[in-house]
Amino acid sequence: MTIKRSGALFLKTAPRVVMRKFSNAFRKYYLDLTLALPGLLLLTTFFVAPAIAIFIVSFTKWPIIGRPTFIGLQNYYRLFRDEFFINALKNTFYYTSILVPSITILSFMLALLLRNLTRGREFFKAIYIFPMVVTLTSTAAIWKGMLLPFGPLNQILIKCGLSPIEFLSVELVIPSLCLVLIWRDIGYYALYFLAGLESISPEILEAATVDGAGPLHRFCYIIFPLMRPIVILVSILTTIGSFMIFTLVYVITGGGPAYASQALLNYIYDVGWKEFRMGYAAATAVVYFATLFVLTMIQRLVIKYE
Amino acid sequence: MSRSKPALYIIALIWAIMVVLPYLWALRISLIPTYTTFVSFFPESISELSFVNYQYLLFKTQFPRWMLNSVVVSIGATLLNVVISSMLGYVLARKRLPKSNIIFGLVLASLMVPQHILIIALYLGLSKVRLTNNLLGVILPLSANPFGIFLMRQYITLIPSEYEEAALVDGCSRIGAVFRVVLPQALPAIGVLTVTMFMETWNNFIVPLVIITKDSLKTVTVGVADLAFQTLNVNWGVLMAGSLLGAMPTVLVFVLFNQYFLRGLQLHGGMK
Repeated sequence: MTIKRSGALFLKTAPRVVMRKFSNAFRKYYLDLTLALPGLLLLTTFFVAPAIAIFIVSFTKWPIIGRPTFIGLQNYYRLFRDEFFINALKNTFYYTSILVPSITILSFMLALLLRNLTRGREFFKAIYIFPMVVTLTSTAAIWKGMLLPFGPLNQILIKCGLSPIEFLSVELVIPSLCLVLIWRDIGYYALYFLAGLESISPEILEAATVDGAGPLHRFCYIIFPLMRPIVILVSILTTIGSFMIFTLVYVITGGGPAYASQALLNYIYDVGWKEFRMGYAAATAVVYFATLFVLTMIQRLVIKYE
Repeated sequence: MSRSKPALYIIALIWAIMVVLPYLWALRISLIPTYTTFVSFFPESISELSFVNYQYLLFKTQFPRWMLNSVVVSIGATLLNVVISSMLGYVLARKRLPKSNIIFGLVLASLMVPQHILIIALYLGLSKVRLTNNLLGVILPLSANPFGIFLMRQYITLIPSEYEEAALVDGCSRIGAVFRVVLPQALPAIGVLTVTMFMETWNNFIVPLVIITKDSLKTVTVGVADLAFQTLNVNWGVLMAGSLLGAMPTVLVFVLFNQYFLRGLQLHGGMK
């Protein structure tokens, strides 16, 4: 009897309780929910969903017109025998191996220079980051002219009595493009180092000087150890940056001559939008991301291990 | 630190000249009537200067349209990003929503994924809903930049929630408390975000390149790249004029809001 009654009571009240709980929760959170919704929507549509989609598409064969067909791991299998992909991967590592050390060292040096300027530091800072402010396509277009066989750089070389260099030849194209990126980026990364240098208290350096430490000692035993986190940060940022090379290559060489300067992103673009092989391009993108991920993880592990 | 040595100033000056020189050269080329790159760095005579290239660029190409498209795209994407970032950033900072940490984890994960990699999926998705060859198809992906959410969340966390509570006691509505009490205090972060987002969206190349193929809808970055890629002879004077004009808006924003930009760099740096 009692069981029956309480059962009926439960059936009667349960929906009401649930509803009340739900509406209470809604009343409590509706503001946060409405504020969060647009952002969440954009983030899921343009980051989360594409990230999942690219994974799925990479297992298909999808010529842009028509339907995708599932082909399993074939794209990946083919990818590692594709000499154009291997070439682009090699080129990207080549870019990275030039850019990361040279930008890190040179921007550190530039920051040390800026740190030692007592007057006009702000002025030089503003000039040095100017190339970073100018749209990369514009800078690339300008350097396309600068690097011409009869362009201004070679004219200067000839005036100095040197023989002109063919900057965009097969052997030199990657170092030349790196030159442009180094020229553009060191002023920007110097600001990271400068911020670190400015936070080192002058008392420490003065104390060291009193104790008889020369400039070299001060650098090796005080400045450098304190700046290590920034060295690491800049090297990680430049690694990611050199993996993202696209615009410069696209505008200056288009990947040529004979694919000598083609970076991974340029390869993905060519496969996707010149050959219209979407599945294959997606597989390339997945491998590309995995490589970048492993690389930055290794960097972080090395740092931790040290 | 003692007085700096003159040698350092000479080195600093040399690098400053090296940085500026390519742009001066571009300016020089853009002011020469016939297209050639055989000129020296410095003008021989002033009479040689002409604005033919600029005239050609403004009246014979789609350049004004490209500029307009870029303005629409970057202002649209920046505004959208600032609005959604402030709102979601507020929610994530206050953590009232259950499981808001999961959302924040999602934001942090998105920060690790460069949008370049997703470009294939973005293109396929946008072409499904017919947003390719549509400026909205560029604005939406560009506005979904997780950096803004991260930045606003970090900044609003620093604003004590007592301000809001005081406003609620004084009879302010909850939405009013967010928009009249919290966000005005977050204005420095909003400034930094607006400037960096504008720069990033103006400079973005790969998204408009892929999404838009119609000449009249291109943004200025893609348009300039097109000028550099004319199949026959590249018209260097026009190309240089276009490069310089196309870079003007970001340079202008940098000159005007220098401080915000520099502070944004530091935040970017502290982020990773």
